[in-house]
Amino acid sequence: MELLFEFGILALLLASGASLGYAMGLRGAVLVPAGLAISAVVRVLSYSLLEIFGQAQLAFLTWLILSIAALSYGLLRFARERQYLIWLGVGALSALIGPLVTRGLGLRGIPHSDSLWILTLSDLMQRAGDLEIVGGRTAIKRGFSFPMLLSLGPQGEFLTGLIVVIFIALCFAIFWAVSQLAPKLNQRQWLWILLPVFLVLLTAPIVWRAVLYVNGHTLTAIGVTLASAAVAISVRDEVISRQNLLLIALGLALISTTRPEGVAFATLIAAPLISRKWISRWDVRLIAGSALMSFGIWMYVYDGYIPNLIRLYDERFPVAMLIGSFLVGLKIFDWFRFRLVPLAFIGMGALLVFVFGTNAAALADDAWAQLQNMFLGAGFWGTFFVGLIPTLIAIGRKGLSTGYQTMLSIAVLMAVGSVVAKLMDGGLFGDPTLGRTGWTDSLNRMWLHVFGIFLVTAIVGLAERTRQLERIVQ
Amino acid sequence: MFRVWFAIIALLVSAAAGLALYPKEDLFVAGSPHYSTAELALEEHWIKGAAPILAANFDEVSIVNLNKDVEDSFVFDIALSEIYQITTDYTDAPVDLRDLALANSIEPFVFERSEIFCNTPGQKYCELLLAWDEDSSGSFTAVRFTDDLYGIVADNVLIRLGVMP
Repeated sequence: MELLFEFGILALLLASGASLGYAMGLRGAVLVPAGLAISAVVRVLSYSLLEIFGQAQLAFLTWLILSIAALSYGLLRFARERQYLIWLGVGALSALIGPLVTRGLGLRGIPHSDSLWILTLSDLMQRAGDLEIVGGRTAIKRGFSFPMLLSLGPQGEFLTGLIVVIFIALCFAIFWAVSQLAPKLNQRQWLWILLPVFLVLLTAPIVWRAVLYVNGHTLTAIGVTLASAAVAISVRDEVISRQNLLLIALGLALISTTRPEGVAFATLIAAPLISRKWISRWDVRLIAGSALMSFGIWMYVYDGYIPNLIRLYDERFPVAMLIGSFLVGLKIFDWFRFRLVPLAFIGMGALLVFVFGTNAAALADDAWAQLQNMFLGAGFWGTFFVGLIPTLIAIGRKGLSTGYQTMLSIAVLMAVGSVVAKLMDGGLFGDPTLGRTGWTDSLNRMWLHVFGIFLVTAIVGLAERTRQLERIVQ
Repeated sequence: MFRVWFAIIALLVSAAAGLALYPKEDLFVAGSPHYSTAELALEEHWIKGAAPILAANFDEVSIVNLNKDVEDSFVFDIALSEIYQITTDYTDAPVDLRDLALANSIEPFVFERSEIFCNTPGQKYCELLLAWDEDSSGSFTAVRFTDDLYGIVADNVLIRLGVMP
């Protein structure tokens, strides 16, 4: 019975989101991850509004009505369009696979205390408890949108199949990003590129553990992949389509409500696009607002310690986020905005030099632990980074498309940003730490946010070089 | 030409090395028909599991003697007690029952044992047991059985053991 319940909820999550995405012009494989992201935003916004007005007990019913309405709208308007029906079917199949794996086969993720912490938040949300009681550091680290989606499970239980569905959606996001950014190649050429990449991925148990691991990393990865690819496409085409703007806003909102450091990552992802001179000021504001306002709502609902630390109590914090989104587009900030990418690299680089310079002895062991995690198997990354880094170096940048170069910039920005975020988590100026050996180390797990865009970057780069090779031969 | 082949060979060699050299890790837990926080906390003996486990077994839970700011106490997470609406009293430290040697007598009532953070001098981790019986109503008292064993025990069990009047 619970299996059917989960299937129904997951199918509704994907189908209602995909219907709204389709209505807004999205087509193809992106409908699966975007559908999930849209539904996550609908769930977070509706729950938050009801919670603010003290009516959180109506949140499930409200989500159900909104989702059925969205699906009904999609069916009434697009029922005759084959592509719409195909992607609804793909969504339904994905929704079936999730609970079949967890409740049917009885598989679950490798135990980890972070997972249980997240489930306690999910319990609280399912009971429509007062979220203001969890504003502390530990609770905020566990995220907002992920436990919110998990709380859609059967009474007293969590939505177990969601984790599998998120991973499937991430695969579709990666596939879509590659299909949008890579040049056309023949099947044999694709085989030569994809087979080695897949084999390297096989050596990384942490990626396959993520299929069932209860944590928000893969949901974040969906946001990162969607937003990064849409930014790269927009930079390449020198225009932001309505669909790409939607994907960027969705991706950034998802990241900013799933991880506490997500709002900083959102800035790094958006930087290559909002630093362009051709982008309109209102598009800049919308992109900034999607991240800042989402974060603001999260902190407001949780009564998070971050607004209290900076004395922006109650509704002042989301209002400040709204004003901040508007200010980003002002002309007086143009000098900074146009130089955002190099400034981000310089800023983070200077910070790392300072912290490592002043804490060299304390950080040496931590840095060694991270190297072991990434390159020597301790973090269960197998030879993913060992194979990928020489690959990216060999591909290079010269002569490749702006789309590829933008993806590479974002990937590197995010990698450096993850190290900075970890240092800040450990206390940047007090007692900085980079973590420890083992797959559960938080920085080690943060690589799950970016492995998707590293994959997309490597595949697109290899495809572009292969295409160049073909032209030379001809 | 060199770039593409170098990259593909680098990927293939590293993949072969990875598959040959690294041990195969478990990717999931099989045969686990547990889908609630309390069941998983119980299965995994989660260090913070007391709150969800107690809340799942009683309609209302209250615990006294949870002061964790003194030596000879353990940490009962405040956030989790609020999440699971457990009424807590942090005024007094756990009742010291070490002289009564009850570690064996309590065994028939033990529902769960897990590691717990404790404030015992020179010791970061202790053991915590949760104990009750079918007559328990949800009123609990935190106690200390041995130097490194604490308990959250139902009041009616403490009465049966002769600890409470």
